[in-house]
Amino acid sequence: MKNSHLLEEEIQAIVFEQKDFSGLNEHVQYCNRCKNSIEAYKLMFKDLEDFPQPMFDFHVQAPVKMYSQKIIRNHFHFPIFLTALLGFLGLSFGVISYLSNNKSVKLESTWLSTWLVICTGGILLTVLVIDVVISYEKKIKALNRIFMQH
Amino acid sequence: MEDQELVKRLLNGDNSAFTLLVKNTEGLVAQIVFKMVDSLEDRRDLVQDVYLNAYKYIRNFKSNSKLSTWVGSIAYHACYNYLKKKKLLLPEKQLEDENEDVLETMTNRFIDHSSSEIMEYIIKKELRSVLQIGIDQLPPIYATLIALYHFQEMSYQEISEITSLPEGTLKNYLFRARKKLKDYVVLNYKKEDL
Ligand SMILES: [Zn+2]
Repeated sequence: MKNSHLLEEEIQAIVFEQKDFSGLNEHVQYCNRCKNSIEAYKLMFKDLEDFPQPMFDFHVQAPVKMYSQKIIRNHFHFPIFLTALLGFLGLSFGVISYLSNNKSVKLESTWLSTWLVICTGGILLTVLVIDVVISYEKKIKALNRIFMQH
Repeated sequence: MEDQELVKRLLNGDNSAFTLLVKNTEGLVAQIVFKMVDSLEDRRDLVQDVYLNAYKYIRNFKSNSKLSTWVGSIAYHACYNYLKKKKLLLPEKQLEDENEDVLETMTNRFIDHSSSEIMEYIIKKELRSVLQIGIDQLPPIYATLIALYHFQEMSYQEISEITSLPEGTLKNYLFRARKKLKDYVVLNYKKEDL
């Protein structure tokens, strides 16, 4: 049996690490100081998880909402911008060539219109496909980085 | 919902997933911020910054830790830097109290002479409020460790991830924090009684 009092480390180890020190336990049975120290710790930390949980009395997400809205507003998507520009130019040329055809200006407008429609359509489709592929790859890359790490 | 599913939804820009993340981590973040920062206004700014950073940098989250631990770590380091900036952080040496031996002798003397009275007192005299004041008087890092280990029931490994403290240092700080708390409760009992 241990004759001197338990060290503070030993007392805490008995209470919090659930360690069993047979020699120490024997001392505790006969020593008021050590017994009370152990009891004091047990009482203090008993049911501590039932303590009232601190709560925030403000809206924690407010800046996040403002930030996400700003992102949506400032989102300049180049492929979509390019698509819109090409669409606009294609349509303008189409209209001009149609009008010039009507006014019998000597311009091979029917030929020009057909090729403009085909080229504009082709370019628009290519740009859209590239955009979809790029954003898909970006997403896959981000997910891989997060979930494939071990 | 699992962390992975939640992150997937966040990366897809699902804002309801972020509300869920806040709901899942608010308690932990509150424990850290309330223990480390006293000013109500600074608490609000810090917490809002914590969640803004979590939102911005969710791509940096690594699946080998829990999402709550990751957010907790952002909160802890934000508060730590705040304390450092305000010069409210005790240097490591001062955390190891010089008066510890004197306090221990006093506490033991009281325990020796009070036998079971102190236990009755602890139960009778609203232990909760005594403890609450005792915790509030601890150095911020000690109070946070007590909250994470005893209130949130987190493991040493999780707390180590949040605070970036090595497990050995963490156990040593927790030991000192509990001891300081016990000294506070015991000594305050005697002061009132005299
Ligand atoms: Zn003893």
